[in-house]
Amino acid sequence: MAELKTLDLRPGGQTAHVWEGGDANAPALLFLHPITGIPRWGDALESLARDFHVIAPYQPGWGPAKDDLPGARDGLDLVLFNVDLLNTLGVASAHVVGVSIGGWIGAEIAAIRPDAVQSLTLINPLGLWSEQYPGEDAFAQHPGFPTAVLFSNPDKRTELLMADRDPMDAYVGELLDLRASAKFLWPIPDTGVGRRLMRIDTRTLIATSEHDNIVATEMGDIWRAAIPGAQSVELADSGHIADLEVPDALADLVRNFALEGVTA
Amino acid sequence: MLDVISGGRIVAGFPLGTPMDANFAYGANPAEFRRVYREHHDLILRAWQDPDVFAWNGEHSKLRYVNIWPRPVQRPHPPIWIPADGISSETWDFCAERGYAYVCLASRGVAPAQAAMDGFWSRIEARGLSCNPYQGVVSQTIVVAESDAEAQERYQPHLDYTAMHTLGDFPGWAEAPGWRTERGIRERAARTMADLADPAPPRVPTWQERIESGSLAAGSPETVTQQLEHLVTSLRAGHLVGVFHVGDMPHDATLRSTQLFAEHIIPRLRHLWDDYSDHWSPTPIATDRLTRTTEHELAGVN
Repeated sequence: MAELKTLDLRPGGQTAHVWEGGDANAPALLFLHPITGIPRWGDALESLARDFHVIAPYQPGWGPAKDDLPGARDGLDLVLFNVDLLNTLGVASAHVVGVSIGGWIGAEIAAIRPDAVQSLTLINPLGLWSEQYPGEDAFAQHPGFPTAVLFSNPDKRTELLMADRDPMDAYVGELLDLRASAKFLWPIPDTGVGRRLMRIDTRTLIATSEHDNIVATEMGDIWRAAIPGAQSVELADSGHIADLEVPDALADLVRNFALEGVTA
Repeated sequence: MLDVISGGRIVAGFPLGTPMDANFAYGANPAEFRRVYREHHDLILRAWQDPDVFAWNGEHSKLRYVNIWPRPVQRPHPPIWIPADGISSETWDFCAERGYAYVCLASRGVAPAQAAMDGFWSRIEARGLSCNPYQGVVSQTIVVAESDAEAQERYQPHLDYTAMHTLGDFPGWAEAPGWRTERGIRERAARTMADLADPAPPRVPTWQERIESGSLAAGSPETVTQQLEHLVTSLRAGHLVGVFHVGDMPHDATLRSTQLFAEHIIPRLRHLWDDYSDHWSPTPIATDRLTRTTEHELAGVN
């Protein structure tokens, strides 16, 4: 089982709220969460913790870090937050896994601090824009079900995101996580990372989900073409929030690629 | 500029803007929206009042030289009114702290407007301030005819047109993430959680429903006077902003209704709060002074 820790990163720097699980001597894995944050230490993280030292921070603005949003202005601030976190934990480099907006952050880390990244797995990454494949607008949704579009079936929002939480707290948390995402992705999820992707020299896997309403599967080819040597695969039976919808398949995908270099 | 042209007759409204216009249409980032609003409010207030050129090194705007010209006629600045749609305790506090007029809308009926205005006055009282009615503003749609029956006959089609064709908000644009603060989300969700999950289908209200709810002031001059007197005294509103045109209402009908209002209703309402001083209306230059200044300047030019 994992522990939710609060760490001061450096004097005058930010506080990190981070789930840490698995054997501290196992290969380190930095998990960068999607738009919906980390509602709980879930099955995907639990499965990964069997083989990795899993480090899963809330990015500034999400979950317990909701009040830290003003301190993070752009992607560079997010990169520095994650690099400072790894340094604080004494981790020189890690396998980096990013889902959704976490995919963008992972790509930025790999482009700016390649020495800190052993392998890069980007699942339904946001951050590139294609007029041909715009996807649904994650921020223009019915206020009663603000994140339903992120799932392959709207009922999965209730089942996977809202379950076992106080309804009001879950709803407020859902909207605050969306707020944090909007800070970096509004009004069009083009973060400028496309200008830096050619700098990535880490082995990279791009995965897109079969039923993702936000990131079209065709975007996998666009990401693959932009990152030297990248490979791409498709995740079956999942919507945008793949860590909640297909936790075992996601963990197997990451495990096989990061440790074995296998993409099948 | 408008303050100068009008001789100091401008009220400065500072609406936050709705998600639909400010965020979705104009592209303003909702996650930072309120911080930007506060910063730019402070910038405008300083630009109006600081006689010197100054640098503004804001978080969201950086201006090396701020030096507005012409400067406002009204001193220290035009009165500020803050319109609010719905119940936001943050807006109540903002107005109460700064001494701004609070504007609520009666377009959803008297009860929601009453709740909004009561909340504002409670914040004024909590600060030990006087509840001067002129700090409260209510906006109401008003249509007047010779009789109640004629008002319904003439104006109902235009109100129905408005409801059917101009108010059809796309639910996805009702909220933008960050437009409400956490406090605002909780306040709204506490009232409307069930409605959010299972919204009632939109429906055009009947004429009688509009009258009974108070979302409309309509009828003969006598009827409308009674409706509005009830509205402004219940809300303790010293300012009434009349909306005299709706939807596809033709020009002549609008003029006729407005004229009846001006001639028969204003005289009966304008003295309701004579015991109070109005500090929230514009303070225009006296007409004779304006004329003299203009003649003097023209003489100088010539």
